[in-house]
Amino acid sequence: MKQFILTQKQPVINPNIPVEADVISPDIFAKKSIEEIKKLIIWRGNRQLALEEIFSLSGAEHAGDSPGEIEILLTGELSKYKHIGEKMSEGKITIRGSIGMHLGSLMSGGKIVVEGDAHDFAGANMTGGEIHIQGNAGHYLGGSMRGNWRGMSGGKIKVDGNVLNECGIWMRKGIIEIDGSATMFLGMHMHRGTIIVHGDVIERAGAEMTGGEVIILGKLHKNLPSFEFKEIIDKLPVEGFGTIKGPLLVFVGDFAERKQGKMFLLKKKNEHLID
Amino acid sequence: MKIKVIDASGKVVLPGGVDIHAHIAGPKVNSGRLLRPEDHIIDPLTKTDVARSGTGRSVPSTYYTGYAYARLGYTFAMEPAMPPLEARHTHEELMDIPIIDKGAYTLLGSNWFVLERISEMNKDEMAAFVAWLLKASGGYSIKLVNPGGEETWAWGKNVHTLDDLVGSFKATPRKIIKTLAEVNERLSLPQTIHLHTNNLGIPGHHDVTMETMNAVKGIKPGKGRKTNMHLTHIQFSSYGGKGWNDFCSEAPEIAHYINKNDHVSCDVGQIIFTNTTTMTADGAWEWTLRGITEHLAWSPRSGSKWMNTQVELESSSGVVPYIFRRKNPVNAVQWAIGLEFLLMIKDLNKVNISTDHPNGGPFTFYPTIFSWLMSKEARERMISRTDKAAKEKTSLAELTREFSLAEIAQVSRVSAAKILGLKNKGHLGIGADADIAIYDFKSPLEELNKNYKAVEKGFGKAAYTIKDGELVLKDGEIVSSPFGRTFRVEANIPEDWTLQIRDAIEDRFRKHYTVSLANYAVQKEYFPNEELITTELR
Repeated sequence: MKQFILTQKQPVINPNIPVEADVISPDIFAKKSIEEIKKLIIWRGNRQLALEEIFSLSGAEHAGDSPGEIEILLTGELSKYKHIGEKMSEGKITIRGSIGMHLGSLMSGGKIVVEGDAHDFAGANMTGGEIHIQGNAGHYLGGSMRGNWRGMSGGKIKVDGNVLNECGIWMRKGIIEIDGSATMFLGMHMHRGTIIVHGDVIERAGAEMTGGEVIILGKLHKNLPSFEFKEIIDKLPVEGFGTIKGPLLVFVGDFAERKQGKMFLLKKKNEHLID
Repeated sequence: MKIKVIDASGKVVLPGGVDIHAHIAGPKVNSGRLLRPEDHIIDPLTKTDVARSGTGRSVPSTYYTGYAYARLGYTFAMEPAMPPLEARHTHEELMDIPIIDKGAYTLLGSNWFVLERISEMNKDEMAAFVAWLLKASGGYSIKLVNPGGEETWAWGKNVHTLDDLVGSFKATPRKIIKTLAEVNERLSLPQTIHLHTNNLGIPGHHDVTMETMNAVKGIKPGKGRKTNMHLTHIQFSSYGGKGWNDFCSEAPEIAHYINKNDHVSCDVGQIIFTNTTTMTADGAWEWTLRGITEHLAWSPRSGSKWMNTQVELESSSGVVPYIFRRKNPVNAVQWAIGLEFLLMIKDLNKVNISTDHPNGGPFTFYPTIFSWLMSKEARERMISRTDKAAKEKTSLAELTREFSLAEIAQVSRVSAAKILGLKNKGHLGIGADADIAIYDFKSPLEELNKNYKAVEKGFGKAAYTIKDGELVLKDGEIVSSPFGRTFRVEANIPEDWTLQIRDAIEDRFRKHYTVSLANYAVQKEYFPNEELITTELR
């Protein structure tokens, strides 16, 4: 492994101005020496800066030819840093702290670990690879870029905390696992794939879904009227995850669209939905 | 005078390209831009010292449009659907498209004034109205989109034959087409009527196209040309079969008619296998298309996203994203039909290339079409990659014609300039504008039909583009960004004709329009650089 450590320089100048940092990706670091990497251009607001003006870099002398061999370690107050790991195909990025929007969007492989929170659109339109967010995630986790009706189409996202609205919107493949809770429109417009939420969900889960599976192991406070209760099952095998023990309530919907989507709710916590 | 010498030895020098039909400006294009952020994000253009930034692909921003045309060696493009009420918006965008010369066609096919008076109005008054509207909207020629259908669409219906009544009016599509074609020739407008046929896009309705051509057969063409009708994106109007399952090509029949008769010209509306945005003033068709997308794998199961609009008293429009797929039998046949027309029409003065940008695909794919025309090998390669329907339901595989460079020049600039009646475009003789494209194919010219990749590459990135004598592009990079002219037409008519209809126009505006007459006409500020063509009554 060739490791690069990027530490934000202190004091942070203009911390509230967004930074477009899509160059921080193993695919772009590959085949460059550390001196070349230091000179990579990022945008802060309307200003172009070299990477070394914001970060102090240390690590291997040369990144080598294969992005898969590269590990990037980011430290600092990065909640305004956008597009980190965008379009990456291999390698690993670890972020010590919170990160801004579009983390790992369009990524096709490799792994990103965030030790804090992630902002909106994390893993948007990703086609493969893995994202592990140890804190909370924002809106549109594993969703689609603005306007795109084809969202996440592969890979895995794991969130240890909570997520906000429209998680997994337009999802077509892959798996999203959330340990905490979700707010509204979980799995909206979902086409295929799996979303597992261990905590509670407020309402409107699976709105306009046309396929795929939404599994809620906490309480769904309010169900959409366009979902129909079908049966109770004891256990559910989930590809790439294992078997979930029930009993589980099975709902199909969304009837506002074509009723091919499935929602599985833990019976113990969701008796209020079948009264 | 400073003289700059360009060494073009071994390169190909052609007049700047002329695009007769490309939706590049106006409200529906702007709606398309709003509808498709995912289309912009994949093709950004960063600014340089001389060029502005922009976003591209199927519905590019204005600056991007100008630069992309220059990169292809094109210097002229026409926006084909401008509702007069939205003329301001259209001209505001045209003003912002750099480098190329441009113009817009005025939509007249469902104008209430025309529909209401078509049975009783005398021809003088109709001519006066058309002349007034062309002037008020700054248009170049008369455009008919699904004549009568735009109005019926406001009531959720459509017209299906040439003799259906249009809403509550006494007008029929046949009457509208014939009347406006006669008026067009009477006013001696530089171009014929520019027609998007009724029932466009629907399988089995090539007969409507045939009937439409027959309907105007007797009308005497204006001075200096033999045609009295231009059928636009004819590929979309040439479908046979009873439904989508036995969908097939009827291009040979229509091409045969065009070969036999001299009164029709056309552009093809070639489709490209890519992700694009369809947009037309034919709102009814766009709604049908949205329904079709419900059954397509790339689309959400509830159908593609869409927009639809009705422009008061004048027109309608719709926008639907669409992905043409090689393995979709219908798309494969559509692809073949466009090429069939180009290869079957013998007199290339009657046909030219368009993709109906962005309906069949973005105009940036023109070089790919050139390579298909120049090389049978390129076509065969594509046929082998598409659904078998392209081979079985069309005659494309049997066509052996291979275009020469001169023939490519004919269908990409010369015939378009002739059809548009532009005396200073499409040639490099005396009186021509200094709009020049120089291409470097990096391959012996006599071997281009074997080396189709070189065709695509060479045409895709002009070595030099010169606009009005100024070098604008070198090796695919913009070096300067001047503004071209807006072409528009004013038809001179006797003053008393205008007086006869003035009261009626004023009354129409007082009663029905949401704008007042004084605010309707586009004023001279909208044409900072213009080329005005005036015509005299025949």
